[in-house]
Amino acid sequence: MNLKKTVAIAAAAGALAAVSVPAMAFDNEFHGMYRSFGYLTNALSGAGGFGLGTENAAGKKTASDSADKYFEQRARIQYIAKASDDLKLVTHFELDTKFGGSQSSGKYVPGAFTTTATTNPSANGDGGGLDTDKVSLETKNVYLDFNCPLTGTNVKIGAQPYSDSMFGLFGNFDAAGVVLSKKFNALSASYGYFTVGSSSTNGIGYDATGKGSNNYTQDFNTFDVKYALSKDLTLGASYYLLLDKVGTSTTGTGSNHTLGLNGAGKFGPLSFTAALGYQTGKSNTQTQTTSALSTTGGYTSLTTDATSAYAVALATKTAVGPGNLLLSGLYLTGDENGTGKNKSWQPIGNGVTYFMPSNMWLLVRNGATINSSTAVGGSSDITRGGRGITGLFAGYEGTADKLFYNGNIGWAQVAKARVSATTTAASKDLGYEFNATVGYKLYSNLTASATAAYLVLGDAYGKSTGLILPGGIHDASNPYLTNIQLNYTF
Amino acid sequence: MKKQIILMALLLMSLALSAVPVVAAQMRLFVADMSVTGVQNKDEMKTTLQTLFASRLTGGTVLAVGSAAEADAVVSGSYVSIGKVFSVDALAKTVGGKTLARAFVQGDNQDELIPAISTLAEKLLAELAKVPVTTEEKLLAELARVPDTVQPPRTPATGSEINPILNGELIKPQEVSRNDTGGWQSKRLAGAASLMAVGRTRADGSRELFLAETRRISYYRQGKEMALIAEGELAEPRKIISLDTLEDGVGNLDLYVTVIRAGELVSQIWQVNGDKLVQIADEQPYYFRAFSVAGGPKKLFAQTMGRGDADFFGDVSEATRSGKTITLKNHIKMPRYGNIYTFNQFRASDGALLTAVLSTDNYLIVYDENRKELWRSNDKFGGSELFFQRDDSDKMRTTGDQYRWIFMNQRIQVTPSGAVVVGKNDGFMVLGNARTYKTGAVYCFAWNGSTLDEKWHTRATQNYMPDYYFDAARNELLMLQTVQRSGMNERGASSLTIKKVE
Repeated sequence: MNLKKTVAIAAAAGALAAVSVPAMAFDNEFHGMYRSFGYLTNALSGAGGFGLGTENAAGKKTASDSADKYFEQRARIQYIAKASDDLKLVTHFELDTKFGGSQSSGKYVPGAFTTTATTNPSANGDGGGLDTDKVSLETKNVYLDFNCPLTGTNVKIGAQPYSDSMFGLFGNFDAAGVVLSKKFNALSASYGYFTVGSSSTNGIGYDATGKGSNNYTQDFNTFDVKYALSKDLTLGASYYLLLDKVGTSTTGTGSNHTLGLNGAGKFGPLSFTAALGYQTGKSNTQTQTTSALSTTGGYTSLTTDATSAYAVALATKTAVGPGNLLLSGLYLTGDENGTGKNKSWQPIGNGVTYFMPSNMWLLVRNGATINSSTAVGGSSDITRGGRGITGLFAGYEGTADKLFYNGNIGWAQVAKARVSATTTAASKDLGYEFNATVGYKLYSNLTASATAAYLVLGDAYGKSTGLILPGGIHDASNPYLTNIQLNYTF
Repeated sequence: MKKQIILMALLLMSLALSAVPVVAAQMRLFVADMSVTGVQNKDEMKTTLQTLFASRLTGGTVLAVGSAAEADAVVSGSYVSIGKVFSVDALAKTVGGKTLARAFVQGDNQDELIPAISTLAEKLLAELAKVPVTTEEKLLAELARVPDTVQPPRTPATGSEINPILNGELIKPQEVSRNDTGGWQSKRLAGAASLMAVGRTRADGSRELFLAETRRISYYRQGKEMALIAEGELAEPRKIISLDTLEDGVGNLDLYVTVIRAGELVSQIWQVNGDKLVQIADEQPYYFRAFSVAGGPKKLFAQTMGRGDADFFGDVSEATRSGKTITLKNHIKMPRYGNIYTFNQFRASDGALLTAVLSTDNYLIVYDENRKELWRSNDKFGGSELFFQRDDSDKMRTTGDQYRWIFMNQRIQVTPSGAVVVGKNDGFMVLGNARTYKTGAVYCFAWNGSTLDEKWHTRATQNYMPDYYFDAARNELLMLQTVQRSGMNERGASSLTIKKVE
């Protein structure tokens, strides 16, 4: 057979295969988003950090207080291969880019970033540099979603998104696991099992004594039930159990129990969502930065000292005039010294906690942020290292045809000021934030908006003397940001 | 030599006779059927491509004619679509079968199809221009047309004498060969309406019609023309997601306007008062729909909204109004995917009450009385660009969107005779929450005991069809079309087509 014939047959077979795809009854479903920010800020760097600057003695700006201007973007593509209503494969990918390429740190950079590499533009890892062709595709989710034909139970297995039932104050994250859920009329229930961490030394295969890697993992179990009492009131309960076996050889198994109650209701023009959480159990101290409960306390003896912590959060929305009045608050208990009984609320991990209803940008990270997703102190840990938080937030949002707007004010302080043997804390006060956004709906899926946010920094981060919070500096200037956002979702 | 002299003489004569027409006359092309591979609606695609190509070939020195008999050349073509990529090939031949020119275009997605047809026409015309028109060919073509026997000069034919045109040689609107005949077309109506409701028939024969945009209700009377009688506007930030009419017991016409404000139901009830629209109730926590279940009398139904992701909560209930108070009774349990807007019921020949539902993926599904699935369509129906949003902050981290989009769908109507009527929109750009439909049609089915059999469907409109209504009493089909979408500072425009269904 000559080459031409071979090519022709191959092409015909390929065409047939391609044409036959619809006949296989696969539905191809795509979702995704594109969001870009153009920032002018003295706080964010575009590489994940939050920098505070100072003025000099004459009240002039110093280099540390200078404003940075940069663009960043995030694209997400979700492809769902749907064999039927009861079976689908969900894949979700993410591409983050800072215009001009990454800096010397931050999530853009794959693997270690050496000092040498910072001087080499070709080391840019996000495809934002010249010619753009870098490896920047991140796998966000890959999971199979199907309904059991025998029981009707929905099964999701694989790397998938998960959010707790308390605003994400314990955790709103992606993880690999299995979630089973089923509805019984007004009652819905779910159970989930995730492996969220493993030992860096015994994470694969067997150890010297023949114990498998499953003896060195952090296993996260979730139980959630919700019951719709009426169309206007739903109540729920949750139990999250983290079995922490990473430190077994030295400190024993940790077990963190988080119990929660939640509710959502509507009374006239007011709708609300509320959550209560209580934590108990024992946690290991961790050395792996990717492990759960690794950064929320800095304790040295948690396996022997029980945790007892609380979380309370409430968010309301009330129809007022042409828009909505937004009020929310949260309280997470903190610990004052990092020893003895642990009284700090412990999220499952650093960087996976949110409180979206706050609508803050600088005090608490905003839900719309992408690569620059952080708040004052340079941490996305809302507890500020186990110190807890008390926050009150108010805002108003509205629309006028295709124009939309909102304005917000918020105040927060750590619940407990951490003291050391020699120094007292400067303050608990994180500060007051004011922000406003105005946007326009260019198309039903595309919006353009501009935001300005200003934080009157509290003494906890910027007092001239005393022990200030990590990430703060003495005599810090007030941080601010402005951004222009383009947002396309589908 | 004698033959050569005769031939030369003939050539010279033909040159002399046809010199001017050869230079100035138009080439007559006939665009024959095009083969179509890899798409669902092959028949419609064939016709569409044929029409598009013929119109784009016409102009200048080329005239597209209606039959091969009157053409100098015949153009055939093929359209192949593999995945999103398509290729359109065209071949021009003389009537004698000799290849004159060949061209092709390809595109990466369906948005490029219409421009590609124009490009293909240009390419083919350019290729045809390169073909040397030999006098011999022209002569042979002329000789081929000369009848063997001399005919007397033809007198202009009367209508009855015109020979019927062979099937497939005339590109014509398909509605002639479909089940809908006649029709009425409104003029351009201000505002890209997304909903339509039909009211009473007035003494003068005109029909009350109501159109809804995002926050505006327009009251029309449809007689010979559409006359705008009154308008009502809702305050920000409300959005109308359903518009229904029902006569109360004393002859007044109520408008049930389902309204969303910040993800919550704040529906309204309006009434026609002479030439005015008057609001009689507000802040109603219900989805409303007035329709004929199982082809029975038109009644009002309502459903509520729940918390969290319960966008439609509980059963669908029959509703009655007393002043501003709505009372619910006779609850109907919904099967999977069923809600007040996506379901209807019909009776099978054995008397069983079956439920038809449009799924979220737009498949038409039939359930038995125990809400067990009996049948589902292989084709998709429904499709709407109308949606409302509810807060979905918990998933914002994953979806990137603070809101969950809940799309409305085409409604299923059931006629008194038990026929199931459903709208269908098709589009090149239907991707997740980004929906831009291009064409719409209405399909009619009947249950044969095991499947829904298609009885008829309308020709696809050239515009997105946001809503339709089958007026069973008049056997008329009303199709609302969006002729121009609303823009930054424009309301857009709509039109209404009414077709008689026989």
